[in-house]
Amino acid sequence: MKTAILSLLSIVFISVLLTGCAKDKGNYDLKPINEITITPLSTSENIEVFLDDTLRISPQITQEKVSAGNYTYRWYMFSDTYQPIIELSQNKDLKIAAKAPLGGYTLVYVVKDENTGITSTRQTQLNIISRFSSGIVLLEEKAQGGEISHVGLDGQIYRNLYSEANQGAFIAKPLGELQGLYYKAGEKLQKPIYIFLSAPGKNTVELDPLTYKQAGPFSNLLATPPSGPIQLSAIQGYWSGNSIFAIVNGKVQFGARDNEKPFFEGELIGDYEIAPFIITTSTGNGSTLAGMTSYIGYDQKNGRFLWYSAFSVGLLNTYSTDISDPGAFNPNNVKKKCVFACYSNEPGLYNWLMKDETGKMYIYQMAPVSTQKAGAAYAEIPASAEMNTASLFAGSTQLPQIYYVSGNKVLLYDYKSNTSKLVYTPPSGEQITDLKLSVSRIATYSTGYKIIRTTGKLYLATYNGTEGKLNEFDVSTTGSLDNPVKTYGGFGKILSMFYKEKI
Amino acid sequence: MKTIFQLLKPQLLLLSALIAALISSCKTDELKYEDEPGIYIDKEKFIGIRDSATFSFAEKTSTLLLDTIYIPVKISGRASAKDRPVPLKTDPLLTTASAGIHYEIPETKIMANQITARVPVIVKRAADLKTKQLRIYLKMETNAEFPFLIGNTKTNSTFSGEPSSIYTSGYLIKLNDQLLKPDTWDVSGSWFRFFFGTYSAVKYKFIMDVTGRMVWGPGARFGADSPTSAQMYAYYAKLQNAMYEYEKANGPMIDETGNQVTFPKI
Repeated sequence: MKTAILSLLSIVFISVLLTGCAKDKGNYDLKPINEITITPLSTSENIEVFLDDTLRISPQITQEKVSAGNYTYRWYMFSDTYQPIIELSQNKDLKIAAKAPLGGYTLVYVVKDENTGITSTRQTQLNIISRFSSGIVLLEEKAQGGEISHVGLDGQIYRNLYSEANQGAFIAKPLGELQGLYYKAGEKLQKPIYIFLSAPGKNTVELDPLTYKQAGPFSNLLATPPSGPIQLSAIQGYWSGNSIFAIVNGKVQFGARDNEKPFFEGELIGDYEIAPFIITTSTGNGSTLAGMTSYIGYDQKNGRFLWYSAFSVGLLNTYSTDISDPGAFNPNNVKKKCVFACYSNEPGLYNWLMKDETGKMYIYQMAPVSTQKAGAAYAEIPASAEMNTASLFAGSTQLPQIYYVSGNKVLLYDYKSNTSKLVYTPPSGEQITDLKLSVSRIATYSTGYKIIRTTGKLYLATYNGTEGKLNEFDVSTTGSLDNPVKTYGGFGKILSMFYKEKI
Repeated sequence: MKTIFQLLKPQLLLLSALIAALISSCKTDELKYEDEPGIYIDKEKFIGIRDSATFSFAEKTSTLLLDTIYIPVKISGRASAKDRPVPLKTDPLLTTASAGIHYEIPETKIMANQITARVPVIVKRAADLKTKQLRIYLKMETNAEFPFLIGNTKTNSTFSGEPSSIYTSGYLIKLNDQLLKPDTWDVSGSWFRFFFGTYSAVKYKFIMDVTGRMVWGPGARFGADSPTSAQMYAYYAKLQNAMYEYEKANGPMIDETGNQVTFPKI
């Protein structure tokens, strides 16, 4: 009896347990899903649209066994740089102006059947690009005032951009020159390029690099603007981090924060008047040196080089006076007028062209250290080079050479051999008005962290009294120039050029 | 005839005990708090120094005649279905400011079903604050709603098992209309200390003259009144330049202790 009862209880217990394992065969009223099908949003892998252009997409929608569905639609996109979603439209077809910042986006289209709640999604890569991302920006003098034109690297010319972007206004004279900065931290906003209009006696203004609309005074970038007209003479970033330097009214403005936009905290301190050239240094491979300086400038007031290396505003430094390990010259005692400075073809050497009181020209090469060894090389430039009357300069980083314009001729100075040669004479009646080399300013691992790298093109602006021309040259492997490979005409007098690389 | 209970007695007893044990484990162990309610100043809500604060009208605009310092309070015990007055008073033995002239403490209540409140202490810009600093020592008393007097409070136990901070039950407000050293100059994380270095009265006046800023907030860093990081770097640059110009014209700036006024390299 006892055994029977125990067996009975065991059976009941096991049966209860096994019910938990029973398969649910179901007995539901299932309906087939009527899938929504959307045709691809693009015939190619991605869509490219110019900034401000209208983007139109009309996808076809079909649904199984449904001829006139009740749908709602949603178009949105999100940036490749983790910005918030941008809602675009709730219409079936997309028709919007591409106004988001330049860059890559994922464009998403969602269709929802309101009767069943079924949704279907299509997406594609969308790139918003600018006609003005790369090319040569030209500041022209016209009868009405200053104007901006842009010549794309594909040769496409865009004229009258300033007046079109600024309600018909022209730039007031004097026009001065274009200044520009590649600001590394601006990559976060996909806006690393800054362009400024700078002229003596006038407040420098910023131009939107994508539209050439005036974007406000340069003083907006200064925590403590100096008194009087604020003139920007040079501006440059540093290869790593976000340090930035600008020459404003003869003083060095410094900023070091990881702001999305450049912002200068204040003037570097000291008794100086700085020449309008900025050298920010790098070893060319991302490493650092003992006692390395990150900025080199030339103090015209006291005829000496100055250096800086810090993360906040402080005293602009003079070089060590310890001459137990001397360099080629004493950086504290140069006593000449600086006429040009540029990066050399070696990452750790920087060229400074000086003129003495008698008109003799000299080249000084500086290394990025704070000792006497900073004075790396020094030479007097032969008078035959005709550099003492030169007005325009452009230094190559590919060859040990500096182009300059003297006597309306383009000459090429080789600082290894300390010789100069004529490389181009414009046609009779054409006056040279500006000279620039194509450059890349993006310092990354792949570019050896070099701050400026010339890239093999030389642009020469000329003026014949009625028409400005832009002459494009291919720089040969020896630095020589042949005839222009392209000439673009129909401009006013081109006073200044700024080379923009693609961003 | 033997019953089933007689037959299976040992096994049944064992089974019953097991089931009882299982059921008892499912029972919710309801905590019951039976102590009297109390109330205390919630010093965890303060930044920096938590037992006192200095309030200077000199750091405010000259037209400001009244301001309010809010004291966060919290109860121990259960929330109540009715409003309960907060018994925050001044200690007459430790208070040198005069009620009505220098301060007022309006009646404040812990609202029904709430466990916290902020008690406003209204401070007044009286003329004598220009020449002396007065004290308002606040302390929590007991009343019918909060009969339990809470002494020192402490933070929750840290990993080591010890509280990281213990606070006294009172709170001191030092009230003046003069530029005195901010309480939070030297607290951990203070931007006063980081950007400006060691305090001196001469340096502090120089800072305010050059920057034009009078209100800095706790540690010049915390709270709505504090500057941003970008502002602090800009102030630092401005001060460095101003000091350079001052020294060029006048030589070193000497503070009230005879030391040269300098700013740290950051």
